[in-house]
Amino acid sequence: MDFALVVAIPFVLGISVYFLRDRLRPVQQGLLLTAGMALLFVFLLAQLPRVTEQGALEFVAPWMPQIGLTFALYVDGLGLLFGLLVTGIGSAVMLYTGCYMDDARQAGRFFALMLAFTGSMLAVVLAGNVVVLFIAWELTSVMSFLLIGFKGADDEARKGALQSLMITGGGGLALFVGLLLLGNAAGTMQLGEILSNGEALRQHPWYGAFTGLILLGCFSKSAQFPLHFWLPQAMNAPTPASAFLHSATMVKAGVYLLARLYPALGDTALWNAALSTVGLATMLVGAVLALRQRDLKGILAYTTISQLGALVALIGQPESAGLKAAAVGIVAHALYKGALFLIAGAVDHTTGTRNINELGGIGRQMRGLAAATAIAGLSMAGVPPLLGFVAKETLLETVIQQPLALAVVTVSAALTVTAALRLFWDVFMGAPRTRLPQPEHVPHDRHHPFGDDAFDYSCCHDLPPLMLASPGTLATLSVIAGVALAPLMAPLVSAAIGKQVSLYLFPPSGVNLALVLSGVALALGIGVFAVRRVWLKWSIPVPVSGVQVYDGTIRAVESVGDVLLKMQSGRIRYYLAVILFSVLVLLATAVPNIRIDLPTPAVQLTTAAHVLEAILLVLALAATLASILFERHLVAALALGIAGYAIGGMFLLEPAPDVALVQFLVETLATVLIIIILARTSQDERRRAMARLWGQTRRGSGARPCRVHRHGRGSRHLCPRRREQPAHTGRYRRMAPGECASAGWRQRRGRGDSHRLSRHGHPD
Amino acid sequence: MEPAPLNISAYVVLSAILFAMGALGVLIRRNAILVFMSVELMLNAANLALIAFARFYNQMDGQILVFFVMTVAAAEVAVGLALIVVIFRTRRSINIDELSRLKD
Amino acid sequence: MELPTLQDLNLAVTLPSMGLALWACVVLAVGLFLPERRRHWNLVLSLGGIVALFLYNLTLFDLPADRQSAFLGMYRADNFTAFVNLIALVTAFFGVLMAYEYLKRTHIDRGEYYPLLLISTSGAMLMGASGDLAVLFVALELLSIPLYIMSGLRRPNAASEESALKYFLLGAFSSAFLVYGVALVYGAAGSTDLSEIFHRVNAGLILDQGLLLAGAGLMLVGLGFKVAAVPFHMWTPDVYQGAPTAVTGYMSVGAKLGGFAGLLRVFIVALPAVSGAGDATGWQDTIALIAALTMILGNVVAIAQRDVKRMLGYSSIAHAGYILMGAAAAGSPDVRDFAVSASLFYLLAYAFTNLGAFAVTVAIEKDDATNPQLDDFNGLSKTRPVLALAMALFMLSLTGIPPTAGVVGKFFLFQAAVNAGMVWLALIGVITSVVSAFYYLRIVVNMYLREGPGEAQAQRSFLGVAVGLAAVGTFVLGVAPVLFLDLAQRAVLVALGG
Repeated sequence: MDFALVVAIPFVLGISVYFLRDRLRPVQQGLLLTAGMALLFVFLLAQLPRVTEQGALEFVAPWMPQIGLTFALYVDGLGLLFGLLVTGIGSAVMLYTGCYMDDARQAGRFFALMLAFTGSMLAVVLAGNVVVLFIAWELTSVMSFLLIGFKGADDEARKGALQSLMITGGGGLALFVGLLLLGNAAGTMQLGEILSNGEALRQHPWYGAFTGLILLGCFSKSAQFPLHFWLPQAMNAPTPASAFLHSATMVKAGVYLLARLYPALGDTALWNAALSTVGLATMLVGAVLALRQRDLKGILAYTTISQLGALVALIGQPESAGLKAAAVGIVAHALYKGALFLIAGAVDHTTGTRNINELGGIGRQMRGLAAATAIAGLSMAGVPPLLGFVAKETLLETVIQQPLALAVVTVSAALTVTAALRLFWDVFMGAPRTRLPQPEHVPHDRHHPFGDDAFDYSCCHDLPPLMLASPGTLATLSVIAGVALAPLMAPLVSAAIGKQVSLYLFPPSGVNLALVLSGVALALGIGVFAVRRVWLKWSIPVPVSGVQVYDGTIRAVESVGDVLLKMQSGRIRYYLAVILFSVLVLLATAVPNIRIDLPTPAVQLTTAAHVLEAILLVLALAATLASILFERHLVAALALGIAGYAIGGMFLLEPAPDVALVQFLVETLATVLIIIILARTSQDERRRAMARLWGQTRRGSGARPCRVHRHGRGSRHLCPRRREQPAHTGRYRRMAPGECASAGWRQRRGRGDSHRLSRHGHPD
Repeated sequence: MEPAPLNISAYVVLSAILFAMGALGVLIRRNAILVFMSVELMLNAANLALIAFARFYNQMDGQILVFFVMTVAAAEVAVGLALIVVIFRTRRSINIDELSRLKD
Repeated sequence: MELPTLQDLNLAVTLPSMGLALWACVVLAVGLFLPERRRHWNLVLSLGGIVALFLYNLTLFDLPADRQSAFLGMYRADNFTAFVNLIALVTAFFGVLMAYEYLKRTHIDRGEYYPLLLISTSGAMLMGASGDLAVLFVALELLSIPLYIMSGLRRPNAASEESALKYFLLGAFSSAFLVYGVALVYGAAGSTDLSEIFHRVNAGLILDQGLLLAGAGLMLVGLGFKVAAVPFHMWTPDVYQGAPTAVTGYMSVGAKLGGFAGLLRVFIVALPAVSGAGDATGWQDTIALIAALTMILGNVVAIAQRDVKRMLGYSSIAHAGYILMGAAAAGSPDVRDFAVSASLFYLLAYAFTNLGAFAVTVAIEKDDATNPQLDDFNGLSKTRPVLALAMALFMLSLTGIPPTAGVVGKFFLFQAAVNAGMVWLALIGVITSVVSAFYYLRIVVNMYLREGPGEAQAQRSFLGVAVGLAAVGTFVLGVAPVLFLDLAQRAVLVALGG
């Protein structure tokens, strides 16, 4: 029950803060929410010993009992790890946001979305049922979308928001079917039962299908190459949201699910190959592309992608060798990247720009921020004794046997070092390029890839202490966790991966290859940074970007749609033909199977009835044929009437005199009515033909429908030329005065008397 | 049951031919009224088949169905002609090929 | 032969559909004498009848077996009927509510709208209740003919008239196929009673297998036309575009509901075992194929649309595809019950969502007889935040993103398809859903991320109520579908006797 509350509380908090937004200042809102999140954090932390001892805790409540669906939560070490991450980083971000947002109403809305996201994310990581998991999963995508679009947007940002939702939401739908198949294969939707069923699932004939779909969902969410491009596009979100969603938590949902399903699906050839290939590719691509960025958040986004790739690759290591490194990496990354995002926001907040080319030397004024950046950057670069170093070491140790992976990891690590240096040195050190503070002048940068903040955050440009508190705390935690590995990190990681592990800062056996490579990466990274003046001028050729592929796909689908649209000609005759053709196709299989005995008896014309029957038969056929062949409408209508009568005659001989009688009646009525109306309309057509003959041929056809629109209710697009036609209309009326019995009431027709028309306007 | 001595297949074939001709009429006619009348012919063809089958099975079900079909056909005539008259008053034409403004 | 007594007819259980048709006559009669300023009585009477019958219909679930049939088996009063009635009455309720101000605004507030809508609804209900091919046919026409008229209600608007005539001619054409199909099935099986047909087919007492198959195929044409399945879908966008928006909204759900109710009745009750060439799943494959084509075409073409009504038209085609997926799954005996209830639940979810979307469309439609375009949604979140939020919810629901009714419905449909072994169909469903996300979310983007006038017509109370109720329904079905799910699950289609 208590865990259900954990999921529910953020939603409640979000709604309350939304309604209190007029009463509380942003800072107060932030403090309130920080307290709430911290409470949840403490609660979850308190569960850690219990989970370590007892194993997974399950909570089940009925939801849709009809189909055996429950609202189930499943809390084990892995879930707790992520839960702690969400609430922990969440507390820091809430505190920060209170200062970041100036307008209370905006802040209230923003907080509500963030809290809704928090609740959904907690539901993802604590879900005990794949349906609950999926729903929460998609909710996080929706919240992300809303947050990306929070500030309003220009064309580019709008496209980015839509893209991110298309990729993550669409991937979610693939995940949906994957989970459904998985549930079907396992015979249950409960996560606990699925996890204990791994052997059978890995042998299942559908294994490839559901694993593929689930992987697709996870890769899209965790921004894996080649679906990574949505994440940089998402950086239009307010920075606290970027820090929280697009770095620390939401993008890790994919990693979470991979780790979660590892016992059920993991460690097969398919799994390991897919994860390590995609993960390593992502790691390298992210690290390289980060070099091209000038936007602080862009750099952070691409290094995040790189880091996510490392995590995915780790989960793809055989025999769960990589899980330890993954767990450490998740925590380390969340701490330093969360801090760096918040710092980027603070820099943007104070200087008005996030462009690294316009920044420099601001460390003199902002010593606190510079210190926090230094610590977080060191963790990112993997310098001892910070947690980032431990993460990198465990990562290197895991892949030590695989030369290719080792090379990729080392290069990526080196480039990450470069990125960390740029974030610190080029912003805080060197020659100042920006005056501080400059509330009025917000430089507009052409190269700024994510557009300017649409809101005016410029009222408080001195960095409020609270705004420094969050990144400072996160950065400090990187140090503490790195130093106090055994008491803090080891229990957490052990619980998360379900077996006892030991963590150490330096290998107890002395210097090993991993440590050497770590040093190499550090040196290499510094070297690359030193010569940045050179390579910053290069343009890295990208043969085809994800965005182009995405656009191309959309265009392809659209052009298929255009082709299909050609069939929609608007012509009834064509539609009728399509229906008829489809009927023929449908019947193609059936008709050859019709085997009614056709003895073709000799035609017996022995009795009068038989003769009559034969005559009627011939008559019906002849009349029908005539109705098709004769050009003149009246004759055709008569012929159809005769056909109807002939059929009625056959009814009579059947004998079904009552039916025949009705047939005669209906046929008479119909034929008479039809002929009357036919006569009327063709008479008019004849007149019109006369009118044409007298010289209005061309314009006549264009004008006809417009006459009615003159009365003010025609639709404009249907009749673009109506204003040019009045003269002609009048002319037409002169040519055929009173040509139609309805002319009188047509003229009466106007807005006011439509009611009257409905009474009297019906045809007789 | 014992099928009545009736050459059922002949009737089925005849009704099928009538039905097909009706469908053909629908396709080749341009005047909405005649298109519509051809549809009525298709209904008549179906009625013929129904009556024949009713006779074949020697039961009333088919005949009752024919009544329904006729009634509905009459209702369709009423509504259809009303619609045609209305559209004629607006456009001065009931050529179905000219009714193609709504598309794409 | 003993003549049936009045009691045998068991009239009470037929009240929802029969009563609604009768009530329509009352509304029509009263409407004739209402002066201009008392027109609201049309609304009040219609809504009153609908609500009363809705409540009454709730008592018709789980009737004892001897009360489950009326008119000597021609009318079936089982849970399926009751659930179809429920959806139909909900649809009618919204259809009336969102039309009231729209009709006034567009000067087509003729009294006919309400009775026509009620009659059409009773036709849809009757289709679900039909135990006999004769009833099915009559119900189909009862459903369709009023819709033809309603499409043309905005005369002398050329678009409205054209849509009416198009709908009429194509509809009459395809119901002729249905009638001929009925005749052939009758000829092959010797009965028009659905249960009787099932038993004869099962026992091999049929005149000719090919005849039966041809008849089934032709009936599929007639019913496929009603639900707008590819390739019988071509009328849909044209008619949706031309018809008055409120009518389009009603039609997009009502006609589809009737079509699917009839389709399930015929193919699940009467013809579950009809096979192709000795293959036990003859029509199942056909329907699965149609479902796939329908999902693909509807979603792919909808992307190119700028006119909201046309877009929703193609979207409704796509949704017919999803429900057909359920119908196809129902062809497998062991998932039949689940698939039927999944289809029903989806219909309910679709009803709330689509009616809501159309209600919003009605709200933003301008008075100058131009159709609303996608760009008319620009900036709506600023000017009408609640309306925009509701529309966003509907769009999410149509896409299949939580927390909405649509995702629960899709969950069941995909589940049914997977259970029936049609994984490929579920996959097509997913891929097309992703495609659909593009055009549905574009509206959300327009509302939230674009600047624009985004003005809706002045506050309209009834329309607002309709939007609100639809939004609540969409949301509640998405998070707590228990009640309706329970009802849907009890709706089982089986042949009687045996």
